[in-house]
Amino acid sequence: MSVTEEGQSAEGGVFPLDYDPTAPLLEVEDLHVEFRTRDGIVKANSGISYTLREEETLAIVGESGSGKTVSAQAVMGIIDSPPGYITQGAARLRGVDMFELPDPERRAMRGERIAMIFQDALTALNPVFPVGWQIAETFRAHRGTSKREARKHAIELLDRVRIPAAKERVNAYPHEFSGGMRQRAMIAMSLALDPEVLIADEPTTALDVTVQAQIMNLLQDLQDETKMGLILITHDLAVIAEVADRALVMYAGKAVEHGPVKEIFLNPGHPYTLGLLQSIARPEQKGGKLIPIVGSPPDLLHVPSGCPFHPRCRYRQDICSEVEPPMTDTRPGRASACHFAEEVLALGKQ
Amino acid sequence: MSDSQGQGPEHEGQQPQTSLEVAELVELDDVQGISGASLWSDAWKQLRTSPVFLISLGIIILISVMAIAPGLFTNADPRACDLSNSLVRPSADHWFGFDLQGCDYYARTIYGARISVSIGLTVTIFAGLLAVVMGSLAGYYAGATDSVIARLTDIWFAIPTILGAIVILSLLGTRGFFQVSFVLVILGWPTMLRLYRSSVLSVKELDYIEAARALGASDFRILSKHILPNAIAPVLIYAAITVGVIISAEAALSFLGVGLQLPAISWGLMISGAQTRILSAPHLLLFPGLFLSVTVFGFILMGDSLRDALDPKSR
Amino acid sequence: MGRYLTRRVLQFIPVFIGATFLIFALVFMIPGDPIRALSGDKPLPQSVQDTLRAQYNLDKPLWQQYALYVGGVVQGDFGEDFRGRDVREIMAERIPVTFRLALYAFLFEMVIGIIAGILAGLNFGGFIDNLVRISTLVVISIPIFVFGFMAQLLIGVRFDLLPVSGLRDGQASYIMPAIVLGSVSLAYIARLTRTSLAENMRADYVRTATAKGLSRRRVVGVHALRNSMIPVITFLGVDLGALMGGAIITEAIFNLPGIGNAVYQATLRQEGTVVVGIVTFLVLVFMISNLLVDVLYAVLDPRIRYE
Repeated sequence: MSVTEEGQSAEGGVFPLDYDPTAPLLEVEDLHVEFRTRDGIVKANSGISYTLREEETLAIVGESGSGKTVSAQAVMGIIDSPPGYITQGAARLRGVDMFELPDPERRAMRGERIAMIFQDALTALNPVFPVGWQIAETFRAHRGTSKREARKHAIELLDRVRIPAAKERVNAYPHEFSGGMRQRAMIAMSLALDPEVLIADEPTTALDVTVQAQIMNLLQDLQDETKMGLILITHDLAVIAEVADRALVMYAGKAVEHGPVKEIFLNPGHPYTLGLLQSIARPEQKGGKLIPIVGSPPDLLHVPSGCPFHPRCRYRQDICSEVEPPMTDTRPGRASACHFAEEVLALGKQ
Repeated sequence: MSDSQGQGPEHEGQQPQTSLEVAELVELDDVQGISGASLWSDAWKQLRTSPVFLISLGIIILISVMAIAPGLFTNADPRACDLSNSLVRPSADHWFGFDLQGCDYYARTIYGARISVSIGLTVTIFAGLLAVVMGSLAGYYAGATDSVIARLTDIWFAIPTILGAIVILSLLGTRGFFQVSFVLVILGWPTMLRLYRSSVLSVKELDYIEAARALGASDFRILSKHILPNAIAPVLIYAAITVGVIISAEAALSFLGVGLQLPAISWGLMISGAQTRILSAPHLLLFPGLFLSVTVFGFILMGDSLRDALDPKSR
Repeated sequence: MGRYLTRRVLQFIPVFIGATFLIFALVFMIPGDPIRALSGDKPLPQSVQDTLRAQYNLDKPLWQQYALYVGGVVQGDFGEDFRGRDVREIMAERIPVTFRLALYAFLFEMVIGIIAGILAGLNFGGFIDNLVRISTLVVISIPIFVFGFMAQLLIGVRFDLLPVSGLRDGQASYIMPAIVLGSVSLAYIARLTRTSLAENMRADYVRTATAKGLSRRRVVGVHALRNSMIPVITFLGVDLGALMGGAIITEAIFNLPGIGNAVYQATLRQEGTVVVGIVTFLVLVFMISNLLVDVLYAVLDPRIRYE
């Protein structure tokens, strides 16, 4: 198999030699990412692990600064280095560790096997090129497709994401689209080469609620069509409840809990998750008070000792500031990083 | 589970009712927030350790001392000229040699700093004041005021600067410190105005300006207490650079013969006098040229380091 | 677009009138009598002076002089200098010299400036970046006449590589003056390119392009560069005109018979018509290049087309 300058192979796809169709779609193991800044080392990710299967939607949840976006960027390989460095860990796509791949092959996988969409489509799309051109570029760069063919594909894709009058819109510029349509265009661009994994980084945060719903529905429909795995990065618990199968909760660069969404939401296994769920308004709480989590997220230059959440945790004990709780299985398919996970789980049973 | 602090997970039914109560329960001595820092204190912290800033500061201080107290650097009198020393080359006793009139060139170069620095600072300060006042009006009140001011500045910009300076200055009989400064203020002020005006325009839109207005603050108060501190950064940066540019401009004009006149001691005049003798007496050109360049460099470097520190985008 | 252009042209008309009137007023308001100065030690007979004055409209009120002047300009008549030479002739002789000088300086600053800026921008914070930053600052700091003389001294005289004075050596005579003239603008262009590129490299769309799996060459060369060049090209658009207006010192040092030199001499001799004629020309160049830049900007940045 020869790899051209743009990373394409003769067949139009990239199949590294140890590609294993039986391995899980995406497996991230013990990911550590740090940023070396003038003021010190920021540990953006410390030991993140998860698995993603076909047709599955994994939600990565956390506040701003929890490291969720960094984990996705690390998997995609788009972290600015310097100052960011992946110091440990593996990211296996069908068994192939992408961190070990040489650059041209790594680059060939981006867009082709694994794609990413971002929060603000207005800034994420290049303002000086027409949208259709940007979508077609993916074809031209990866597959060497002719301009005309690529343009045809672009129109088809715009259609597929339900942008009306695709033929005319293909020449429009990003700023000429509405927020929702822009996001669809970005989704179209990411799906161009039929990737197996799509990472969506806060895809609906910048949109109106009604448009949010449309976009999430679109993503789900596309997922049904393509059987791709979807990683949804968000802080919006409502969206997760609607759409995600499993969730990974992150805090201060560490994973604190993971498991099936339904179970976690009904019965959280970590004080942080409990706090998150309690702080959103729900109809049952009408007339009562919202319970926020006290304090603010820690400065990642100075992560608290032991459990990173302990300064804000209302259940903390001495051990919490001394020993970092390891991620331990609590129920089938669930795990928590808390010394008192069982006690927290027990709370929900009442 | 051990309960050394007398705390433990509460029953759902006995949830603390308010976050205050929760806070009381947990001793939040470990809570870490992000330390707030204003743009200025942040900038100062960065500047303190920046070699670029320190070098430029050093140059400026050195030249300023030279301007204020030239006697510290030389005992010679720059005006004590003896024709028998005409065009004598530099030597160990007289580092920079002598000029055509037989004046000690080292002394003249040192004394030349005074007029350059003073013109540079004076022009920049006045142009800056004018620009801030007019720019505030143009940016804040917009509409007709803005259009008129914009058209006026357009007229200024349409005329090439040096040309305009030459024409105006050639009209004046005596061209001393005030005349030259005045002309340079007239020519340099529109750029600062444009800068401040656009700064005001963007700061004006910020929410807390709205809030101040809703609380009944007068226009003057808003402009001076709220808008000014936030809009002034680009102008300060440009001001530092402008001092250097003005010093250079004064020298250029004096060189062309339309700036300061003898017996003023100006580097530009000295270089002008040197031009017919570059080959035979290069020291006449070199020394004032060097001092001029280093001085301008100092101010422009300062502006650059200020920009790095104050411009949030370059962080 | 047409409406936008018309509006801009209309905006420029008061500016044109304002600028030219300002110069006109300054030049002809001089205390002292140019006619008398012209005659030197031997005063001309009063009748001749009166005739001359009438001929040059110097006996009429200022605004009338101006109106007559503009009337003449519109018909293509720029008047004459005090020796009877048609100002148009003077301009026709000198403008090409300055234009050539400005053009060579322009090409020099554009090519070297942009390349240096790109290298620095991609190397942000690194050695090349600091090198470019410091050297551009040094270039800006050295006054152009000092730089010009040094260049003459070292390159022209000491090493005799290039011609230093006048136009005797054909196109080669323009090389050194062009480099000296373009040096400051080169510094600005390099810095502008550097900042613009560095900023754009951190933009979201660059991250998207990388995420799409495009090669770095394409991400930088197509995506980032296209956006970064916008402010640089708009600067360049106005700079050619600025170079023409600012070549006075360069022409003086290198002894080139261009319009800068002409204006300088004319100002000293109080020859108002020449001064006003050339300044009018330069103001026109300024206006036209501004308009061109507006159009260019709309072409380059699709976001501002709907104005």
